[in-house]
Amino acid sequence: MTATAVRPAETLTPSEPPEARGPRRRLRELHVHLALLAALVAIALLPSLIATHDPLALDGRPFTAPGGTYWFGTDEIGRDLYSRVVHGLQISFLSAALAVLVALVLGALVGVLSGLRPGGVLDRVLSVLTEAVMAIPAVLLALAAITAYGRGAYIAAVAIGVAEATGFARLVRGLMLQSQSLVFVEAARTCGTSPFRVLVRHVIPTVYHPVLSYTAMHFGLAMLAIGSLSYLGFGEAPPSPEWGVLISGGQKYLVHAWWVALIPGIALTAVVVLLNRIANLLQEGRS
Amino acid sequence: MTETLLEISDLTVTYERGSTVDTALAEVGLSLRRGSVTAVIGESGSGKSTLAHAVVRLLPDNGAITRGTVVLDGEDVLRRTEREFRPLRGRHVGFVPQDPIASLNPTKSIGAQVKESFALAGSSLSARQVEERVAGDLRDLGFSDPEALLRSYPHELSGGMRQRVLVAIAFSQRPQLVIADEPTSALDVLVGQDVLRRLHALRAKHGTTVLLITHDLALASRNADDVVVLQRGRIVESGPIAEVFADPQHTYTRSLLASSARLVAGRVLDVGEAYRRFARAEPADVATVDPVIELAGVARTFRAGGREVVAVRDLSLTVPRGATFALVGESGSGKTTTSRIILGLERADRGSVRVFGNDVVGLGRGGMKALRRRMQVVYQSPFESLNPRLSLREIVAEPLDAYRVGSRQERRARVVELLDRVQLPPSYAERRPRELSGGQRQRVAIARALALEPELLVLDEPVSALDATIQAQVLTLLTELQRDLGLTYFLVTHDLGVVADVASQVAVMRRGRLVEHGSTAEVVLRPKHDYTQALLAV
Repeated sequence: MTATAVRPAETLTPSEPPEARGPRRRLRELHVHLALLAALVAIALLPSLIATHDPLALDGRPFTAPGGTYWFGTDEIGRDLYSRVVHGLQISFLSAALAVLVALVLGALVGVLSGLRPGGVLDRVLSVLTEAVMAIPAVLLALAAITAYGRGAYIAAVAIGVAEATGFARLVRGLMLQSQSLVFVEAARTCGTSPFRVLVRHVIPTVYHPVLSYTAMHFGLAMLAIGSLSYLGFGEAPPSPEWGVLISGGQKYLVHAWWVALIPGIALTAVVVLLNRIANLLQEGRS
Repeated sequence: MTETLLEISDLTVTYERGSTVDTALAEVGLSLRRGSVTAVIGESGSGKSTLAHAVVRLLPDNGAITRGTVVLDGEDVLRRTEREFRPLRGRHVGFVPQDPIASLNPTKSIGAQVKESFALAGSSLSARQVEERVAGDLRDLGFSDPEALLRSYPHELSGGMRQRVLVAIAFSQRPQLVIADEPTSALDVLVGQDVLRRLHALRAKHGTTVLLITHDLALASRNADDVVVLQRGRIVESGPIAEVFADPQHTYTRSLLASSARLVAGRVLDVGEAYRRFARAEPADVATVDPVIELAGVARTFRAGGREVVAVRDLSLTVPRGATFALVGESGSGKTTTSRIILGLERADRGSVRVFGNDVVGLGRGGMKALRRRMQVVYQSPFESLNPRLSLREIVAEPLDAYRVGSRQERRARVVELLDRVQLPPSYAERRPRELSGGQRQRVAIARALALEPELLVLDEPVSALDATIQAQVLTLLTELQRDLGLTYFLVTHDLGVVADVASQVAVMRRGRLVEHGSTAEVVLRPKHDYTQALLAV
């Protein structure tokens, strides 16, 4: 060997790869996104706090461009667009929340019941039911519900929730199966813990992560679905400030009053992107 | 050519974990003589795998070599860029990994993967020469039909065959140095022995220098010329293995050697000798009054996707009260299925399973719950059997909660008492499993198993996930608990060293059948079946 081997002074491996600092940055980004989401929830619950005008009052000149008094301008009959968007968030957001809640509760219930005894009678019956509902498009189911119970974002939301529950059921069932192979789950069972307690104490805290991520993603999808139904004239009806309604009402004037359709459109896009990003961050954080 | 092939000096490797930087190797220096086998020994966390990976520069992303030189054949390879270094892997340094299952690509044939190693190393051999060399190597490694092997896919091969393929790949470029990182620890003992024997033959044929990373002292002592002892990233002792093992200078080396019951004065004892010297169990009466477990004609077949696997066929055995009954076998022998049948986690297709006189097969939910109170289990890996989210108090109290034993205060007091029983301080009650070492975790698992004052413990490989010094401590604890509490142990293990240490009776299982059973003395000292003799000779 060479006796003159020179010892390099600097670190031999090049500066650390970007992934090394990843987890912390991801957590910070998640916190920022969750803070934004919390602000949206606050607005959705109490829109009048930040709205400047009555969303239904005709108190301005039609088609006033965005500016000092009317931040987002006014629509074709002079209503303040900013206040309408803020109040519209309430309907869009809360109806989507209802859809996701229905999907989550129903899906988790079905998933847990079929995951308790995989391959059992209950599992097989529920699987067939799930697959049957899966074959029906969510929008079709929503149209059927609207036909039966009348127009409205919340009716559409329940129907969409039922349709989306199938995905949740599948996911939860899969996670249940996966958790059966965890040694500490089996250990809990062999020391006499009841199946319900094993579920609450060991399984759910271990596997809830993907469900959380899936929920955030479907929140965004539900907002889009409800908006689409309103846009097509099946969800909320004018003069409701629901975002789908705002977009469809404003698109006729797109050429000379772009803001009437475009601002609610941007708002919807931004909220859905935010929710998808949260879903992604939750997913990545797991792996 | 100089005498020394590899000279490592002052090597320091750090890992960044969150905001802290851990030093995995500190100022490590060692040199390998050409053609020698050097064993690197140490317990988990000692940095032995880091050493292996640093030499071939395959550290994980958060690892960095912060200082030192690795001089291979006169050249400091750390001064090369990654791009310049890449051709060295394979051509000058071969690597035999620990896990033969994860190390082969399941979608490519064996032939494609063996030939790939020639392409990656930039080999100048013609296709024909490559074929000849590969066929010759595979024959040396004990494959009688290399062509058929090359056409097969990894899933068609057993663990031992895969590991031999990986040995062939490591040697394919005739490297000067081969690093074997725990090459047999994922394999059954007899298979591992065969792989090592063939690796040795190839090494001798080509004069290859080998760096053997292992936690198994007996294996090191039988296979290596030199030894390097690592403790927490530092070399505490090194030298010719016979000298170091016969007369260890450092206290850590001494404690390592003391924990391996089969190494005495630098010599590996066979299991029989170890038994004569160290057995702790009293020779038990085979006469069975009031047996705890009775299996008669038990069979279990698994069916999956049209394939049938017979796990247990026609098994009968009796475990007397107070005994430590060891069920020994290699993976796939059916020993784990048998223990799960006893625990009621798996049903038997045929035969009768009686535990404390109750027929487990016909037992309803209530009966099973009552039975489980008297029969608890300790799993192999304490890293998996404890819920990482719960505190030790919650873990140990779980069976007490499940059976609603006593009041809240009584349960709290009982948890402290149980922790004390397994020699853990009461202050540990609020800790979480990740704050504990492997041995401490296994103590917690034992405390949980003892919570309901059971009469029978099923011990499923209770020490095989632990380091050697820790194994000895846990076995001592189990022996004391048995003596104090009058427990019966049903011990499932592949390790005859453990059997010789603690078992009073042994049953040897192979391919679902019992090939031999009797008192430990009978089986260990006078084995009748060839298979038992082969296992004992390891």
